[in-house]
Amino acid sequence: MMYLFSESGTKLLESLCFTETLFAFDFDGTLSKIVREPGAATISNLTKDLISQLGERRHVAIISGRGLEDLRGKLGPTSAFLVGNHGLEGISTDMSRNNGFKSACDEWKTQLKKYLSNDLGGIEIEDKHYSMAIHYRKSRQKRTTRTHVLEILDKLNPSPRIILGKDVINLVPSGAPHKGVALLEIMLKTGAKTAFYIGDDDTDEDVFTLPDQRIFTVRVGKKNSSQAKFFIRNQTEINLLLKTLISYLDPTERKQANL
Amino acid sequence: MKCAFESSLKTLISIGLAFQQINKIFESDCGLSIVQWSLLKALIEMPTISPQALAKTLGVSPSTLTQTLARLSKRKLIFVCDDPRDARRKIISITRSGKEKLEEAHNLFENMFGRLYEISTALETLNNFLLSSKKQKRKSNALQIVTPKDAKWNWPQA
Repeated sequence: MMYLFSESGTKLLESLCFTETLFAFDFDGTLSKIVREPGAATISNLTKDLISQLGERRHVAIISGRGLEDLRGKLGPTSAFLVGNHGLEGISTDMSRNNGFKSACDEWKTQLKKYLSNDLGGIEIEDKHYSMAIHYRKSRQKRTTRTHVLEILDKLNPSPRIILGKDVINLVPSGAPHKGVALLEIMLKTGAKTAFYIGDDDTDEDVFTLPDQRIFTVRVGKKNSSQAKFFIRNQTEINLLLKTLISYLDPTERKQANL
Repeated sequence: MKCAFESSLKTLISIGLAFQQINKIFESDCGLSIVQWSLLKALIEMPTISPQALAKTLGVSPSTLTQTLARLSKRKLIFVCDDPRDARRKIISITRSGKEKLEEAHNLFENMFGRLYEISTALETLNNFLLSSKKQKRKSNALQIVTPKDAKWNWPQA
């Protein structure tokens, strides 16, 4: 992995701005900070403004694990393409297909209530209609809780695709489109020649592992096992990234920013 | 008796000579050869591409590309670095100077070649000949004539 704000990283980043690039972002941990209460996550006004400025220059997409309505509520009015539920909601939503995913979620919910009824200490189940998330951020023994939850998830029928996140376990219907599929669909829709994608979580590996040279991948936080090519050190560098992109796309901004 | 194909061959030779002369003028006037121009043009549309993929897109062998890449890199019109995922591989991208040079060349190129659309049918015929000819099949992979209407770079399939 290479630091994005290294000499090579910034040169490559600048070259992306010379063509029709789609700029795509994960939400939690990328545009917003990770907080103890997942529902309390917010995007700062500055980040929101920078996203809007970037959106005036190029196509922007926000691809999140949150439900689409939840994501809309967090962002407010925006010109960006919004994709929720890890790629299940927002782009070419196939209702009959999604109804199948919803009934799988309903079944998991019933089964989880039964299995987890006695020990919900620090565990929160988030029903996102087409996928589910089991948060254990508040648990005192995170590792034990995670192992326990994973054992229970092994019993679920139909068996879900499990994606581990930061103190969260995501349950996605098997065969459902993921973030990588959503990104490719938006590229097709917008006619983008290349795409830039940044995310912080294991669900973002679905984009990082795409065998497609057109996609420039960045991870929030260095992790050697990640398939992303570049990294930024932490979430606080997101505004610097957005400002840099805007300056590259607009030479007058570049002079003002003295980059 | 003069055969019809003789005239066509003469025209083809003339085109080849004219191309060489135009390339010289183009290089002295804007500092870019036509091959360099086409490489920069491809890089604008395919930033962060590998040399192998670029060679495939341009229809040349990677070794042929090396010299052109070295020249452009020396002039800081392109940038070559290691692929962060695979140190054995390289990534090429165009620099801002490269982009500006390309824009500068664009007007000159337009004045020089703007009327080339008139001979696009002839180029298409030649291209078809190269593609269909069994003897020339191998060569046709190396030489692909890009007619103006097709002059758009696309990412090669992975």
